[in-house]
Amino acid sequence: MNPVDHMADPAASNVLPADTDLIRRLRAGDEAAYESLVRSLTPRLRAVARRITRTDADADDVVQEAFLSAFKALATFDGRSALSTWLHRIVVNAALMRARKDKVRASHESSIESLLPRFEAGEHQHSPARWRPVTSDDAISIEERRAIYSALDRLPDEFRTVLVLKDIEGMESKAIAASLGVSDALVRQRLHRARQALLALLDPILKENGA
Amino acid sequence: MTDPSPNRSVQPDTGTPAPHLPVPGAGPSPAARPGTRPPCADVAKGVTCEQCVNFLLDYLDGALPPDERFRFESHIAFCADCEIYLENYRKVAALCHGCGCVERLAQTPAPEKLIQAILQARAHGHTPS
Repeated sequence: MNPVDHMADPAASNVLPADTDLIRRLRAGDEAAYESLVRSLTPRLRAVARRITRTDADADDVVQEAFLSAFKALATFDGRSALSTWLHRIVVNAALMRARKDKVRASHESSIESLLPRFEAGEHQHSPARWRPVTSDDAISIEERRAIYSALDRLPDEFRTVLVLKDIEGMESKAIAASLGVSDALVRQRLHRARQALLALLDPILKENGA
Repeated sequence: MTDPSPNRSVQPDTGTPAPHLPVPGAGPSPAARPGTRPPCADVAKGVTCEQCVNFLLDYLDGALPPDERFRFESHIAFCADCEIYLENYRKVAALCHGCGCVERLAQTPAPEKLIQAILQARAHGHTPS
């Protein structure tokens, strides 16, 4: 499957004025336009790819492949979304394809079970500890980010990927389902379990009397 | 109830819905757990903490119909454990959202080698493998 396939964006907007001129220049083969596009978007796209593939080398391969796929498909770009959104989706798809090929890192859904809350006769087996207040949006601290990324790396791929795409990248669950080729219900189930697992992993750090 | 719930799927790949939140008094109440901790006050009404936790995502997404939302919120009002768990669950999502915000604002510069590789591959007409 080509990463440009299945690129329908349910939240598509009209083409941005800034994009109109850039797309015209790109289609005309303007080298400066290509360089401008690659320089401006590569850092963000590389970060997204890195979050899914886990290694810099794989992320670089994915970003390069995605840009080349996008350039090839530029003539058919319909402008229903911003150029950056379109490329973001291509990178996500390419990264997911790369991750699927990587059999070494394949994991099983059951491996997350130990991180899910346990119940006894329907009640919490252990009372949850209240967490200290956390910052939100761009005020999040470096320590909090480190804790999140460290915990994320401990999640099985299928759960980590959904959490990254939904809660960090802000994609809609239906779009994630389309990219992964699974049902929306399964995406939501994985998201819920991933959040629960992350909660368990962050608990020792964030509980009020924790470190 | 039309919205799929993350933990209602009996078979993960099918998304088959499992039962809704039980109607109070309609089902068997779990026995109180032995030990020093008092049991959840709402369990006797037929809504367990486990069922409540299973509905967190739907609740936060506003996907629960009014009657189930009422039962969920009633349980949270009675149950300190679930109230804390809900709060922590919200914080997980907020922290991840914060990571995304920071990533979008402050990005690590891409290696020049990568940028040049992309531009050269395009110039030489390379197509993706």
